[in-house]
Amino acid sequence: MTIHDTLRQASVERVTRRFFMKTSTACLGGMALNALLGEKAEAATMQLNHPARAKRVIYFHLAGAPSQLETFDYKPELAKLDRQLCPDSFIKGKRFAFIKGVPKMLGPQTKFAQHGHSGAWVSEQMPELAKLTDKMCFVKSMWTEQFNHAPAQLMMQTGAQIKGRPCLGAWAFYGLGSENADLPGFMVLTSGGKNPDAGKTVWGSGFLPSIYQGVQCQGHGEPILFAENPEGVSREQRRATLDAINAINQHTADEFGDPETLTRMSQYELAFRMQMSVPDATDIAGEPEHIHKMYGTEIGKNSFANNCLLARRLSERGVRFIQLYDWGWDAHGDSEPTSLTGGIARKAAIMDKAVAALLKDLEQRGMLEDTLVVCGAEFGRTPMMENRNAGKDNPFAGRDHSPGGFTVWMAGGGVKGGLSYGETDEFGYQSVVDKVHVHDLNATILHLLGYNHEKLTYFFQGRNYRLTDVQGGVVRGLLA
Amino acid sequence: MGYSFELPSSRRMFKTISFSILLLAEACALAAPVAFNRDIRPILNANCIKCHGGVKEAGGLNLQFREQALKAGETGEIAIVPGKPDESAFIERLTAEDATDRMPKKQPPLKKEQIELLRRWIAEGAKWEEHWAYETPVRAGKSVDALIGDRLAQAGLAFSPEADVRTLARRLALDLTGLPPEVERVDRLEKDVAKNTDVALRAFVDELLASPAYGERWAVPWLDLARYADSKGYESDRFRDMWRYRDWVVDALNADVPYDRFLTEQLAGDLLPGATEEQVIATAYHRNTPQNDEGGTDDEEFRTYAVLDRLNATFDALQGTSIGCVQCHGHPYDPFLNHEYYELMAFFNNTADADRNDQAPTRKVRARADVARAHELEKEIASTRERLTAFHKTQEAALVKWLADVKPGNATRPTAEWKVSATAGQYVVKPEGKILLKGKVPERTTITVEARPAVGKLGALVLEMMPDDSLANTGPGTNEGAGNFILTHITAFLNGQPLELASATATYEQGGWPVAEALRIGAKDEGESGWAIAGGTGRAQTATFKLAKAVEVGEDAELRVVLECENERWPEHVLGSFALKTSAGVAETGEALAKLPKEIQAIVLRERKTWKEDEREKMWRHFLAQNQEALALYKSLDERVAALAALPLADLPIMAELTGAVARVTKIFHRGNWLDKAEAVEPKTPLVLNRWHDDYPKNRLGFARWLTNGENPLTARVQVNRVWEQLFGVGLVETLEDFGSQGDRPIYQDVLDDLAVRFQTEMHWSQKALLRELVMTRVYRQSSKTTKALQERDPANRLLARGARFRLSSEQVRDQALALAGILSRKMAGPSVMPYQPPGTWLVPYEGRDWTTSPGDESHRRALYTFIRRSATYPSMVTFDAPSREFCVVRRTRTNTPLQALDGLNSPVFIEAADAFAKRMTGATLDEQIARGLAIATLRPARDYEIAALKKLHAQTGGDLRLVANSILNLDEVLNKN
Repeated sequence: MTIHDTLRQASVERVTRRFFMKTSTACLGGMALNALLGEKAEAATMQLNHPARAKRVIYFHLAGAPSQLETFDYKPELAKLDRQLCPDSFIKGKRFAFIKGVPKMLGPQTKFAQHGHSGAWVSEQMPELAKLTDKMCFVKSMWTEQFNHAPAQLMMQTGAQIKGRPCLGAWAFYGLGSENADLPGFMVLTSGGKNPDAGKTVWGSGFLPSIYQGVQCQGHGEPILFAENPEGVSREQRRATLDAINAINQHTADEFGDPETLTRMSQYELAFRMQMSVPDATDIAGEPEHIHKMYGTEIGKNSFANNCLLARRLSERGVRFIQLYDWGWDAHGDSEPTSLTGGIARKAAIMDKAVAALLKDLEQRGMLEDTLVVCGAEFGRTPMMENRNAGKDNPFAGRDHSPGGFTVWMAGGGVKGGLSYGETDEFGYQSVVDKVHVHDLNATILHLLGYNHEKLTYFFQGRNYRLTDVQGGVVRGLLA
Repeated sequence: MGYSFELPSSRRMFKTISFSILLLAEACALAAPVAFNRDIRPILNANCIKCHGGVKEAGGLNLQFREQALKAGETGEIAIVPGKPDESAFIERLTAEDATDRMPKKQPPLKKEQIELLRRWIAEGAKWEEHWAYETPVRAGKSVDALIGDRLAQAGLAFSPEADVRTLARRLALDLTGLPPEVERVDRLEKDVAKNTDVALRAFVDELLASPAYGERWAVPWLDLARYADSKGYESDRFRDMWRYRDWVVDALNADVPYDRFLTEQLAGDLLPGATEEQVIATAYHRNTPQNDEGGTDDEEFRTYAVLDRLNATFDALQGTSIGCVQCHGHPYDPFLNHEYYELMAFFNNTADADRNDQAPTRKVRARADVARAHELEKEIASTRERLTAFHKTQEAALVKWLADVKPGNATRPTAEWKVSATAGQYVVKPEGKILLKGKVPERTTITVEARPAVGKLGALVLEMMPDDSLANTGPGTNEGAGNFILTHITAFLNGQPLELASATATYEQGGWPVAEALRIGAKDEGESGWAIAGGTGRAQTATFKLAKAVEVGEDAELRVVLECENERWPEHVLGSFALKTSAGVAETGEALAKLPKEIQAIVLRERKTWKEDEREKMWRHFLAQNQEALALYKSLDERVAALAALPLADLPIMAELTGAVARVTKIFHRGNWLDKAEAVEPKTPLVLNRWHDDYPKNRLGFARWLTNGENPLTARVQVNRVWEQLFGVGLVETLEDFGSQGDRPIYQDVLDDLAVRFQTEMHWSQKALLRELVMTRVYRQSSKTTKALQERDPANRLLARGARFRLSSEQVRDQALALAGILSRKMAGPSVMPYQPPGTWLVPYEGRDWTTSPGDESHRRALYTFIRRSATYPSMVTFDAPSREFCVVRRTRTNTPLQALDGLNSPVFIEAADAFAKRMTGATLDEQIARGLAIATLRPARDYEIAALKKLHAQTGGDLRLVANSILNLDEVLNKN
């Protein structure tokens, strides 16, 4: 347990009054003081329900949602129906974001082959990940109710399609606390030039205290907001500033006897340390050439590849939950950049190289076994070719949103490598075998972190809330 | 790692009990008879209700309601038999030897003392009490200070000493206006207090309450409840004009609109008889619900979410009751039934808004401060326009002449003394000035007109074809049915000399039959050429034939024009009705026209009656460009139009009720699923709360009346508690959002109830009256300094044996820094502003609008006016715990994080403030400068250790006073209310 954690927790205790539970008379100031003096403070995290299989999570959310049919869900039957009118049964009673009238079926837009001992099917768009299939655990039977980006992303990350609930990362941090005194426990990296459709709420803390929200590592400028001293202020001068502030604050603490004053002093100190540790953690310039080559990183750029390398550096330093959002996977085929064979294929190549590099890098550092890597999106895509504007085919090969069947894969901490779990129908449209709902996936992730999803709760507005609402179950079949 | 915390689910129960033990026990001993709320309900809630409450009703038993607990359950046994604990299955199951039979299931048995209490309670008749918060509050008969002071004395405690006047002055100013007071004002107060403390303080408080800053400060917590923001939420998160509602709240608070009216107007202002514009604006309150514009979303789904949100937010904010869980099942702990949720929803489910992208219904409104000015401007614009119209009339003749001079073809002058002859057909000269064919239509003809032309320059001949009722289709030609003609050739002579016609134009030409053909010799021989107007018949048309060279016409000149209609194929197409005119000189006017601006040329060339309003105005402005009187009028008009345009106009979403055939029917959602609808319900209020009056309308207005009629047990309590929380940091009921049985049980219920009663009666729902009383109490005026012993005894200060001390809100943190620096803009109201925000904060898909930093003082407005975009809230605000305003937030958390430190030390607004603050730190010596800075920020004299520490910093940083200022702004004492 770190000082940082204790203080953060202490601050929350004060707010939520959980403090009373621990001891009815203990002085919070005492705790904070102990912490300041570096004495061993008692852990204040949520009790684990069982031993954890993963200590940290790196979660890729490919915002916009890539196609399962051009990545891991191989459907030869669909190729036979290519460009034929879609059977009525596929569209009857279904709502689509864009498709109008009767669309045509669209065969897989890429070749597939089997890889590894497990014989997992992987599209030729992903040659590097294809080499790692024996470490990957594919959930091919995901489903959700939401067919629009914002609500579906909220569903995926917060377990509710409307805003206001804490996200998975916030729950994990709430439960586990931080491992590093000098860095936030939940950090967010974005690429693709846009935030996810649902906005920063997808890494918000909802009704949990705000310290649990994800801290966004900026793509450009300062990695953490206002971490840089103003122009003309040196680190020594900043040290002197803090010394002056804390010298006076110490008197204030004595005079008022308010433990929050001590907490504030220590938070200013943490801020000062973060000014060093964050740039250090986020500066990839010192990485060797072969690492840059493996990831495809370019120093000074805001890119998906850079974020993958940053994710490794942050996880090495004990950040609990690292969430990456990459925007631009919305493969409608209404323009070249959203074409399955154009812009989306180019994004796939970048993703393949960088994510494969991260898996290899984690493994060579012995971190893969206790780091859970998750890669998914808010939904899948239709086996039908998208048409819009009075039912005219889109100019490029594209697919509409499809919530009924999609693929998420995981690797590392506690999941079975080389496993393909569940199936969609022969056209990759609806999950039919061993269906896994978003709540099931989230329950499984919490399980791997050592929590029973029904017990990791927070009392708010008259009831105990949890990530999985009132549903979800751990998918035992995925566990190693 | 050690795991000493209990899980949060059980934590809650423990807490309720811990309070009884810790605090209540100090004051009230547990003595007979058993009191349900005090002794029994906590046991039931902690151990039984989870299975035997509104959610599960396991075995058919629900212990929330007496009548249900006294009925036979599914096993046929009766759980509770009043007076007979030994016959009660409830006691039997609690004490069962066999663990499989014993309750609570799979849990350790209840403690002996608890079971004994339950036995005694049943023996005494098993009386249920209504939960305290649903009982009508009563007067306590003592003052707030007496109630709290007595209780402290019982607990062996006493009030802390009064805070010194300078600390109190800062506390009062921050609490009432959200801004720090000026040093000079506090100096004065200190002197006044020396004469008469209460009089001086009262005057100071009244001054603060009268300040417009009061409404700005108190609007913030209300806007959290109203989830006020400047964008819609969800994917594109587009902007919307809500600021006029924010200003309504500020104005209403400043005007101290009584709280009952304040609520009624926001919930149902549109339904009030003769609703004023301000009352309709108030209804934007519940239009702050998020709206989803994403492609393909079901508007009905998100409309439903909005309605549910309105209901939930109303109960969270105004009734301290979390009712959201009742959407799916009976309330787990509190006496609200599943169907009651939908009966309440029926009040809100009948408005016209439907998650439409255009946000209808909306209303165009101006800032309140602008309304009078806008009205004045509109009046002045109208009167200036009237004066202009009158002035234009005096210039009409001049304009007509000028137009005649510049407009080719229209600059006509009549010719006189017509003599007409024709080779076929009979043409006569009519008195109204036209030549008309009489009788039978000839087959081909050549008409010769002799006339006396006007004196002066002759540049063109003008042939005006004029309709006449005697002709087919009123002419102006003769062919049957259409009234077309073909002019195959035209020649002209002046005083016998031929005139050379160089070019021709016409107001209309039939395709393939251009007027220029009429100039070509021999056209008639080819049979298919000349000027014709099919498609343009039935109305006047004009052809203008320009002379190669203008000639001077003297007195008594003779003009002869020969008009040939000699087409062989369509011989009956001859002229029917026409006039011959001359032009003052096409050559000249053409040049004059060419000199005009293109835009004016285009207008000149069109008939005057076709000019549009703005074209008429442009014409006049051009024509009168040299006229001083006109210019003065135009300037006056332009200034006023610009001033009016500069006044922002909001398209504010409002509430409108559906009536008659379009009114909605509300149905119960089966298990809370909006797609699975069951039976219809009528608007109705919950049974457990105050009764409904049959003369209330069954709509939002009736609901508002029910809420504010003085009989509702929660409305006043909840608001008094909220005001208390703003002053003391913790509510009398800590859980502002939950007054139910799972919420915090107030230690000082008598204080809360007494204030709640008086708030509704003697204070007439006046928030200012309530505040005036609270801030003058001994409780409020205590010093916030504490001892270790007191801190350990009551860490959260629930007993109030000391003053409140807590960090300023995010808005106050920013406003204070700017105010201390002397750069805070005091401009109120209007559209939200955009102070500096780091680039890249907004990266919202499908919505390209950018954060554009507001110029000058606009970026130093109070934080209240900062633009709030829900999906990417202003970073510094979030850092200091401001909510995103996506949903109703009843209670902000207060955190203490390193990001706040970074913000305070490094963010541009703090740096800017430090710069300006350093300039205010005036003095002859460094000591004086530092002392001055500390005095401005803390309102008390600087202390030696402070000056020493800051002097050291000054020396270490090469004499940088800005860093000294930066440090002062970051002091714990400055960031806190002390």
